[in-house]
Amino acid sequence: MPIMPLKRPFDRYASLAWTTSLAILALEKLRRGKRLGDLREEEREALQKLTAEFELLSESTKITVDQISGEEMGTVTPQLLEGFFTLAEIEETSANPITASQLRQAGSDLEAIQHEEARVPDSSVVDRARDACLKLLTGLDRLRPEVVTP
Amino acid sequence: MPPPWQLSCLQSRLRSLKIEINRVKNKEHPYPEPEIVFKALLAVVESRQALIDEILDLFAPDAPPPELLQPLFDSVVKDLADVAYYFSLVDRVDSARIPFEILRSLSWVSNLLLHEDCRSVVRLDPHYNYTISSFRHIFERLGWEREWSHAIPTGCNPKTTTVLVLGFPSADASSILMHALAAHELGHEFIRPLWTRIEAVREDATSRVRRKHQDALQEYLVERSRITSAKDPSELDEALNQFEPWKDSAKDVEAARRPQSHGDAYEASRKSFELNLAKVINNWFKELFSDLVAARLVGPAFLAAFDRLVVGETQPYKTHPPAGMRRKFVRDYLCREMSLIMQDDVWKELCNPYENYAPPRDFFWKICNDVCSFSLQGLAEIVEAVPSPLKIDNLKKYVSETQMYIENLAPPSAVHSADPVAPADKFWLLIFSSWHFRLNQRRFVTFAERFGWADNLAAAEEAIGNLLLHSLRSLELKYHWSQKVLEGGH
Repeated sequence: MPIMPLKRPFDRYASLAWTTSLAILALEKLRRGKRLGDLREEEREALQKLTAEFELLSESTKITVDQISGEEMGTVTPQLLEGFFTLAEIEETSANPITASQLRQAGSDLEAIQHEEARVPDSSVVDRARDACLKLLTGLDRLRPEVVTP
Repeated sequence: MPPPWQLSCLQSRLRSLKIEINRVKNKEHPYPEPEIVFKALLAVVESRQALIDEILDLFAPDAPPPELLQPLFDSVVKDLADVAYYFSLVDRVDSARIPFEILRSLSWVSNLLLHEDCRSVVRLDPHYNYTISSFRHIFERLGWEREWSHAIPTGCNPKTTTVLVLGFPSADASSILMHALAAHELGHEFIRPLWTRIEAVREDATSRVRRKHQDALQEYLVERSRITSAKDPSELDEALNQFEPWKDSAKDVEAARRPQSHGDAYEASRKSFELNLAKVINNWFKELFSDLVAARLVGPAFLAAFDRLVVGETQPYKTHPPAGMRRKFVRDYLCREMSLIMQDDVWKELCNPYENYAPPRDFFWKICNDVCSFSLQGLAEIVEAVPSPLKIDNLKKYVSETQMYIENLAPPSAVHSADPVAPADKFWLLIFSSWHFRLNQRRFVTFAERFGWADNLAAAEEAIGNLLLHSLRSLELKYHWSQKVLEGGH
């Protein structure tokens, strides 16, 4: 970080947004009859990373404000804390933020899709996973720095 | 859903960014280091182009449904804004006013300190700021590691090769003494392996502050939640303007306008408070820790350079503590850990006024201030991991000899009384000694008068800077020569 504040904040959600975008592209390909093995390596990696991310976010919905503001703060891992704050920010800025049950469902849907290496995955599962990814990406887009305007 | 015209504008943006980055990449540069960054940025643009093209192709000849295309469009637009921003940090690194000679020395000392393959470039910042950005770390944090590793030249390790972009205030392009601030910037690179320990200190300090301000905090949260559940928009506007750091946050105002029960509003207020507190404290700790690293490396010379850059006081900000708090924090650390140095009149005169810092009055910033104050001891213990060249036994003798050279317009790199001291340590010792000389009013004025600069003290200071620059370069050359001798070559 520079000695003095910069006018442009760091885009801390850029990485997750790109992973989610790649996952959406991958899921769209699967919807159209492609198999997991037909996807590019970075698309498969994106599905794996996002599975873990949804599981983490789902776990972090169980954290209470009491836990992070009291003596129990040390019991919350840094990753879960970050997940908690990501969801809190999305909640503050979205009219229709992604819910705990959607996060849980998305994690298990992506997990199920990745087990179907040899077959075309169930289309309703793919649709549901894709919709959850789109909702997450919409939430993240609102948190990213604004494009500078004159 | 972005209409066809918006999509066309996005395609145009992708194209123009590629053309411009290629144009600058293909220009002749005094050094090849920015090439890595240009190649990596081009790869990012190309990957975003590929994503948009693939999505459009999947649905062709129809348009993709809006609920699919809009978030992807918005995300790519923001990615391109990131590319444009980071490109702007490296697209003008060849100005004739840039002191290129400092680059090799900075790269060399960064390599030794960080054990990485650092290649440095300089750009002149139109704003009054001093930055060292490790592009490898930036790319990692943005999720652009793949593009970075493909841009690295063959034979280099993508995990340890970085391009350090040094941003230097344009108005002070000739001030070599300002490079004491490099110690703070390199401090940010030190933080990574120590962050878990720093977090523990943060949690402990935060708990203590909560206990200390328990009742006031409760009142604050209740008051804020009362306001966010208010129905009258004008009352809401007026009241929100009282609350830092949310008063500029349009998002927060928007969220606050949603009708809430008092219970919901209180919980939302607590969550929002914890979110902002965590963000601010994390950011402030990074700055303060880096300030302590600088204090370890160049002692109070860091504060002298800091004062040059940050004239006067600043307000607390989400990313940086107020300047007065930083000065006092570092002064308190130096008085604890380098008390002998701080007994010197030159440093006392510089640092004593910092004791008069008045903490912010706004409750939120006061809490942040207190968390940091409570953390000094914990952070001081952690920063011991950074070796300090100022702990050498004959520091006074070294400084005295260095200044004798300066007084006679001789580059002080030839001073031997601090041997054997690691070459990287001499780098920082020279900066420390040069600033000490500069701030010693009697000695500096005598020096200026002796060489005809009595009416132009800026020229006298520039002369010190040039001697320092020459010495730093000389140190680096001697180091590389001695390494070759050790390896058996000449």
